Amino acid sequence: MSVNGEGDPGLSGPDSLDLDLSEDSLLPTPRKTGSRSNVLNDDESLASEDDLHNYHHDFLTPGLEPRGDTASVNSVGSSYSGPPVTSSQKYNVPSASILRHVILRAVSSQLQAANEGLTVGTPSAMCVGNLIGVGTTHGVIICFDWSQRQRWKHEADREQGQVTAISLNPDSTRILAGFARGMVLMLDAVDAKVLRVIPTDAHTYSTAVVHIKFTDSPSLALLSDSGGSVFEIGLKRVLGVRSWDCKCVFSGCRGEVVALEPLLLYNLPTHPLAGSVIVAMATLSKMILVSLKPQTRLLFTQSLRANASTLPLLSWQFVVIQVADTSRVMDPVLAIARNDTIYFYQVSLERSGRISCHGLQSVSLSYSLISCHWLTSRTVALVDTNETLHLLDVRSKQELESLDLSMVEIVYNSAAFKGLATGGNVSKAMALAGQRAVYSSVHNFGNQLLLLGGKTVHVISIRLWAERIDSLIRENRYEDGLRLSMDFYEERGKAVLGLRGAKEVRQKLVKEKVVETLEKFVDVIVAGSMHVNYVDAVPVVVEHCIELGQTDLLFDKLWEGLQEDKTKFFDAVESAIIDGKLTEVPPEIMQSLVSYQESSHKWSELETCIQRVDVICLDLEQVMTICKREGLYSALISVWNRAMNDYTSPIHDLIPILRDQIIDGVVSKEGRRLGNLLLVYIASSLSGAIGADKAEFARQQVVRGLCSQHSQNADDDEICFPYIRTLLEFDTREFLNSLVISFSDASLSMQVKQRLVDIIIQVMTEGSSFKSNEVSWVLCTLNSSAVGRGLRVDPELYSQAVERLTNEDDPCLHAERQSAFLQLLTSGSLNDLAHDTLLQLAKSALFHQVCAMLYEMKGEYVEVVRCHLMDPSRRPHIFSYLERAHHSAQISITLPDIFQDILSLDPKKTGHLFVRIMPQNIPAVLSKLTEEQTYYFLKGMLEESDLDTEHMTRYVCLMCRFEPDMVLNVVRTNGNIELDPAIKVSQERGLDEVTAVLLERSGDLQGAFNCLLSRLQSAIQNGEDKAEKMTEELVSLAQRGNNVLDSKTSWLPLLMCLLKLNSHRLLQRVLSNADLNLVSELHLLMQHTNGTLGELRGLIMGLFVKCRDQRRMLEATKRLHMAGLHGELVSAVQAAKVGCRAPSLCFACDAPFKDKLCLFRCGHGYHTECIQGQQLARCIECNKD
Amino acid sequence: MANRSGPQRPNGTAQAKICQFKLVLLGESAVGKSSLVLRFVKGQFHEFQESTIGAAFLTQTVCVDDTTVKFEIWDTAGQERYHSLAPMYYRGAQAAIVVYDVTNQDTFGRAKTWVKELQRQASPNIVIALAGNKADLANKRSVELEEAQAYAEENQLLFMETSAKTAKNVNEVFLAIAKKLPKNDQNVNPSVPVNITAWLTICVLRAGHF
Repeated sequence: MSVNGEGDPGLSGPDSLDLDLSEDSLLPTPRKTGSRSNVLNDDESLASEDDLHNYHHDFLTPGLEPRGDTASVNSVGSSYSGPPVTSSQKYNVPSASILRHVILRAVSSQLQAANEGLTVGTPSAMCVGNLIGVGTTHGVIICFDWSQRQRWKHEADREQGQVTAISLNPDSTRILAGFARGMVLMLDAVDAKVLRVIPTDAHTYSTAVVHIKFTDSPSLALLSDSGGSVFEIGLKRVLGVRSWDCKCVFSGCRGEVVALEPLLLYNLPTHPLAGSVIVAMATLSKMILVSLKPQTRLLFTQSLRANASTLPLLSWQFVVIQVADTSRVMDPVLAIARNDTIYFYQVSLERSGRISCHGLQSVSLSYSLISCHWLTSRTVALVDTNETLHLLDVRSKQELESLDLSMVEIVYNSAAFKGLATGGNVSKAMALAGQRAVYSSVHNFGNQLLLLGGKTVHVISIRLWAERIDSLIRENRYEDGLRLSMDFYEERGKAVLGLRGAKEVRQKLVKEKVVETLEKFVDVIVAGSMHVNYVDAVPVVVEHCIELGQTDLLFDKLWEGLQEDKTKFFDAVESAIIDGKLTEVPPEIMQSLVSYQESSHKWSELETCIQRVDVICLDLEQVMTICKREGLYSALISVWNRAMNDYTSPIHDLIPILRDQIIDGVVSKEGRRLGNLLLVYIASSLSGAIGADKAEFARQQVVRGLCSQHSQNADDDEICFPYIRTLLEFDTREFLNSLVISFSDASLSMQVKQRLVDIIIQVMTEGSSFKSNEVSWVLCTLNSSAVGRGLRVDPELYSQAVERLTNEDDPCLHAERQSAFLQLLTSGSLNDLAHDTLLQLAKSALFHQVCAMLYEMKGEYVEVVRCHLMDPSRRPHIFSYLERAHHSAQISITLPDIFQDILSLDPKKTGHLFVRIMPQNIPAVLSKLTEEQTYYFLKGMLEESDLDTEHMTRYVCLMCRFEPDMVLNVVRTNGNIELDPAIKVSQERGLDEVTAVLLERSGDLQGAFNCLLSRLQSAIQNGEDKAEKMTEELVSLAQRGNNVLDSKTSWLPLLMCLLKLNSHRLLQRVLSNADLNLVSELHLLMQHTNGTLGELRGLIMGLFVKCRDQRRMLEATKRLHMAGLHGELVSAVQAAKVGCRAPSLCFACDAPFKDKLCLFRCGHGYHTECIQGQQLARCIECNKD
Repeated sequence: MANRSGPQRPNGTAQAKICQFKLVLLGESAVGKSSLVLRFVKGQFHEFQESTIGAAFLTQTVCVDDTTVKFEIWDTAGQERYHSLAPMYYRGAQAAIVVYDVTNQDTFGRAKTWVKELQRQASPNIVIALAGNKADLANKRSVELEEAQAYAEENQLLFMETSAKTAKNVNEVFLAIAKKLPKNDQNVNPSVPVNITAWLTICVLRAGHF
């Protein structure tokens, strides 16, 4: 299981590093030493997850002694014989997760034990390599080896304060430790021997060590202090004497460096950058990338502005990056995080030897970070201010998982930042930012993240891909496990760890795992485990088995294992077959599937399955029996064709079934389905679409079958060609159509076509079972389609067909026969027959349309029109026909008999027609008409165009007779009427309104008024309810003629009449006519009536009301008028108040002003004398007021 | 034809092996192929057996020594129109039974043709058995036992006269084939669990049955 351990021979050393690794693959973890294995990287050596449970347990019951059975597992190949694994109790953590969280229990308990003596203090800093070094608040350094055993403990001078930074060199042989008061110690990692003591004055005096780091170069280490300066420590050994020197690289006065991270290349010696020392530093405002070797040089800077209370975070990782061409490079990528944003920068060596750095992408998060470390080349582990760990997929920017770390109690390194041990001599910015520094307590090592807690050391790692699947399976979450493994298989998985090698190798690896998962799943299903929902599980398993080609598993293990209910299995297999994913099924299972489908009546599914599955898998006896019984004809045909190379059985066996379905010419629903299927089968086999490589054979077989004179085992009295006959009877048209379609295939030989056509014609003509129109339709199709070209058809057949069609005794409807005849004619089939004969036949059969067509061919258009008139179905459409017809056909309407005919049909439309096509003939025609005909004729003309006065007058006169109700409208809208004859006629007819209109038009208003008044009076007397409308007409007439009419003869009689009616409403209407001087009328009224005042009460009241209204109106108008005047005045006053510049010279004479001047608004001024005699209102210069 | 009469391999290595064999029945129509299979698989006999359409599929398991042999039997139709089907079935078969009717000389002739075809077209290791069916109608016999036996020996065929009606030699012929079939690894399906109870194991030696 070890990923990077020695157990993985191919990848144990840097030399075997395969630069062709996939992007997901990981770098080997840094290790060069001959140490057998690595504490942190060997899963076996870590405390198991059970410990986490124990830990929880401890955690919940504080005060208890830590349990003695410290789990510590020796690594593979190790001879360590310490306490064996004792954890036996199983505890299920929710391990679907990607992350595994374990506690280094042995380390933790030793730390705790040490702390109890009060001489050691609590942990304050940690470094991780092949060893774990932990520094404490009392300046003690404890070193643990890979088996979590304490290797040594070094107690430094307590005066130096706590350990604030600690670092291991790449091969874990040296430890550098920095203290709060500024001292730095170098220890031998083996025996804690102090190799070098670097005093506090080597760097900025009286500052705490914040970071101390080894670089690739064994003679170079880096240090940063709480003053924000960075120093380069040269470690030398001259003649066996160890010495050191310290050089300031970056001074804190130019910005305080708070984060420091050298790029370590020792595990990639082939990388072009190897040998150089590159360091990323970050101040509170800037990220700086410098190279220290081969020469000191600034490479890159980037501004990093963010909230002052957040620290910049740096982390390096090698990532395989696809460059434009297909080659790939493996370059270091620096992740720089601050507050809620992470930036990624690629550092690469250009051909010119320059080191370049360019941004890749950035990720914005919803939380503020305190730590950011790479775990794999695609994932980073982030810790936010709430001490929650987030696992982020860099490429998709997707959070994969989060984990609460509050129980870790992470150690904050704020002491160094605040300079607590040196009297707080740090800048405010440093102290504020360092509040949440965890630089020394969170480290990544390979794919693991180590966290230093107050009492414990925690490891968070990404599980191996296979382990993730296994853990799901352990929890009986088979479906999830399967899904996850399919994700890996299809390369969709995120944070995939431990999967490496070429794509094929990986695929193979994962496939094995998926299959293993699948097998386990099947085992569980077969075992009938409680943990598996059988109903959901079976389809999933079946689907995956098919997808991965594991049919053995499916058809042996699962099939045999499923004891009782196989429904789900069948359903899943069935849908796989229908989807075409599965064609080979063991016959035994297929047999059962078919039986299952049969018993559950899933006929259509059954039919589809039979067609899809390999024919060798089918129990033919079973399948054919079911298909025949249930009429699954498609499946039958499929089996015949595929299994037996039998292309004639569909014809021999199925056409007789079809024949039985046709009863008295009516086809049952079942028969229609079968018939259509057969037509499709015949068409496609004729056009070579059936039988794949045996298409020609299939075609011959089908043709032979179709053309067989008699069916198998036929009775003696069978009529010949039973198959074609049945198909023709089934659906002549569709059969012919399908044949025509297949005839278009060039590979079908002419002989075959001819043979089929001959048989069809023979069948159609000799028997009486086919209707005459069908026969002619067949002839027509054969003749007209391009397919028929080159086919011989006996001309005699056509004349026979025509004779049958024109025979009155034929059972077919007249119309059907006629249309058949027409089709024959238009298709050109009858070109060989004499026109006159045809005409004769058509006439005798009363086929007027045929006659018309024949005449049209001959060009005798008059005859065509006659034929149309004779044809009752065409007669109504004669007008539209004539409009569009040939000119000589149009001429024909002047012929007396035709004219009379169409006139009798519709005189109005005739009028239309004449206006449109021959207006010159109208006068001649009109003289021949009766009065009524004339009227309608004129009406038709009128609709088409305007009439002249003569015709109009005539029309109105006639209208008074035929349609008196319509006259009024016509008279109102048309001005060109001779008045005298019209008035005469309308008076005769008693059309008062018309007369009134005409009289008014002639100027006799009084006459018109009298006419209407008399009508009103009679209406009132008769109690008609039209009185109101009439009154209105009268009032409007009286108003129109106000000047001409004498009020004594107009208004007075009207009012009197209305008074009699005693309708207050009507009176009110009269009174509301504003321009009436009713007072005079009232006087007149008073004189001429002898009634009491009461009778006139309504009238008088009305007058009062009107008077009041008018007064109000007058007042309102006056008000408006005054307001308008006022407004004008106001604006005039305002304008007058505006001052203007007075010129010094007169614009007229250019002489200066002396006493009187005339000034205009435009600023021009004149002597009064100068403009005297001229218009004084306007300026001379610019013509303004 | 490979030499099938060689010494049988000792196959006592596995406790319980399951071998799966494809067996095909061939012969003229109405010689009793379906009846033979029906007798073997279900122990039944119908006086008026419908003629088979195409081919029917049946399975039966027998025990031979310590091996379970599962026969996948394809009972093909004898009618002329289905003859084109036969190659599809005998192509992958490990065993074939060619059946003729002892009362009909023509069927024996047809059987010989089938044997020839099998020797020519089928897998070279195929185990062929010749079965003279309807042995109960001995009084109407027209193919002599000796004649058939001689032919079988000449062609190295298993031979028995059988009767589906009386069950005579029916199980025996299948058992003889099962014994003769090579039961070494290539026919053992490794993925099949060695779980005999899972199989519907029927010991063929149902003595006294009918």
